[in-house]
Amino acid sequence: MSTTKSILSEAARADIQAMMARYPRPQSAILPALHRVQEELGWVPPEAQAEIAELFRMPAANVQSMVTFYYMYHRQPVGRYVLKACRSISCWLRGSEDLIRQLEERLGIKLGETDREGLFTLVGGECLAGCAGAPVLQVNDRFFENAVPERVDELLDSLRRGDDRFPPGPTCWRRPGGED
Amino acid sequence: MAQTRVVMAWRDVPAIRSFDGFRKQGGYEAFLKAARLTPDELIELVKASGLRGRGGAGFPTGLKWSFVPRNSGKPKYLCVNADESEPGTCKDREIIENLPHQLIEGILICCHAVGIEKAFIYIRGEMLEGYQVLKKAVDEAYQQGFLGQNIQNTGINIDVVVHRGAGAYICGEESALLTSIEGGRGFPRLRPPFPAVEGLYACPTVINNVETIATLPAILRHGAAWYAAMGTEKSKGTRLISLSGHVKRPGNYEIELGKVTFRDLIYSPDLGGGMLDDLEPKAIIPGGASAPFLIPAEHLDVPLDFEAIAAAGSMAGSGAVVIISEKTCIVSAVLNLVEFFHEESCGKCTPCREGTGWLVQLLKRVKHGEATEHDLEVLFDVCDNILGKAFCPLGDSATAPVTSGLHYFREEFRAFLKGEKEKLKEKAPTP
Repeated sequence: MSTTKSILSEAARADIQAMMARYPRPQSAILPALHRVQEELGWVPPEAQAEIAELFRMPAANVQSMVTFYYMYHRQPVGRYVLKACRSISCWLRGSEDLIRQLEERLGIKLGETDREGLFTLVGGECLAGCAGAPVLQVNDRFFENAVPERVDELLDSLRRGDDRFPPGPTCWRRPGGED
Repeated sequence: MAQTRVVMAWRDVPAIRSFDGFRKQGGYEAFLKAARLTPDELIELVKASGLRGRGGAGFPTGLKWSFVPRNSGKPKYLCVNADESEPGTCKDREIIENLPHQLIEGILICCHAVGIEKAFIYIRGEMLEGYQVLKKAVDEAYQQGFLGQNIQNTGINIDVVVHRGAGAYICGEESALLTSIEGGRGFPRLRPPFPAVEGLYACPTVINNVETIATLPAILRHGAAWYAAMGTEKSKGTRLISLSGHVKRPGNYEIELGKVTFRDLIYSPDLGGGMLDDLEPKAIIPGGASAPFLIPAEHLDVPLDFEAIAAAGSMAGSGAVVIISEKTCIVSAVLNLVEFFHEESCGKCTPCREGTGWLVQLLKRVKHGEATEHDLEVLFDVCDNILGKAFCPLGDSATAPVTSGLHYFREEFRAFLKGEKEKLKEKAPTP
């Protein structure tokens, strides 16, 4: 490690080292490592990219090329809740445009933007594999299915209260309950 | 018309997600049975079952395994393709979230057949919940001695890594998936060499879809003949259909191949339950966004199997059936599909990177009433310059909705041309 101060915690660095050991070639752990960075910092700032480059012994440009290719990595800070609305065909047929319009109106932001309080970031997604529960919205990578515009207010209200349980409603498939 | 549940047989068993629940149901017995067979016997058994890949191409699974060289002196790998992202497809996610141990058991069976000691499950980054479920199940399997060294004293060693992607449709393409696991941008690779010979880390590699792998335990449990007795001559067994769009009951339905028609799928009370708002269907996408449209007037009675759908001019693909109602504007639908491919083009080759952008521009021109008859010809021309000239199937896929849309709905496209728009205004269709 160089003399510059680490932006990642010791725990994160240790996790990343452990990930690298799981693969025949350490470079394979680059995606999991970047997920770990984002988990800790909320996004993947250039300083963290440089630190990853050092850990992986690769040019910083290579890390940057990964962060720009894979769209899940945020290259700027995001809100506490990232709302990802699916735009692909099955959701589009079931009204994803109405959903996005409703979200934009209620949050006062456009797709790709974060609200002033830093609470919500709204993004568009491509088919999220929730087609049977269309239209689908993800809240920090959790599925909120049948996200019709009428359910948006209730969802946003509960998230604003800091309650990230979803309001009740139909979901696409039941989970077997009980064991976890 | 009911479902035939093979992969999903234990779907609703309580606690099936846990190791104990799965074991209590008889889980992992299929692997123990497989472990008593030699790899050759196991490959023959899977060949005899007629199982074909459920990811999209429908390649015979046992045959794929048999291409892996025995004594290359290199390690061999299994990559389970859980990068489910073909628009309309949500079956693998349901398997992962509900039957994680069944997937692991399938991995054990495949690894034993091919002599693999290390498997990767490449799961879509967006499926965080699926990742957590799978991670927990893998940890349990290690604790219980069903993963790791000398599994249940069989002498078999298998290590599984659950690997999260980070948002790129292209990584579902098998060679791009390999590049991604190796730690690069998900660019597809030239073939040959095929992955069976030189795949992950240039070592022999099997790449199978989640559903394919999750079918293996049932084949072991009941026998190849039992499985092969279902379906048609060439499309054997069952498969999961992700039904979405304008039906009353969207969902994943497991059906016997060739025994259910699109009409059954849409209207049967146990399946689609009829059209939403009792509208008429207008178009059917039979195998994910990459599959050309079919139309109800000609294809409602086509059975769902690989050959019948191909004969109808489309493909069974990923098993995602999207139903589009009469109220939908087909130009907008085609634009939506093509925008997806443009967004997800990896940028490696020019025909796909640039061509999909041109298609989007041309379709927007049509949608906004600014196009001329000549532009429709240009659409065909651009498709012609992508088709067969792109590096991987993504480019070809982008042309499917355009050419099939123009084929079946040419008059509707024409109605959008310059000067024609006004005539259409009163019945302006919306999705």
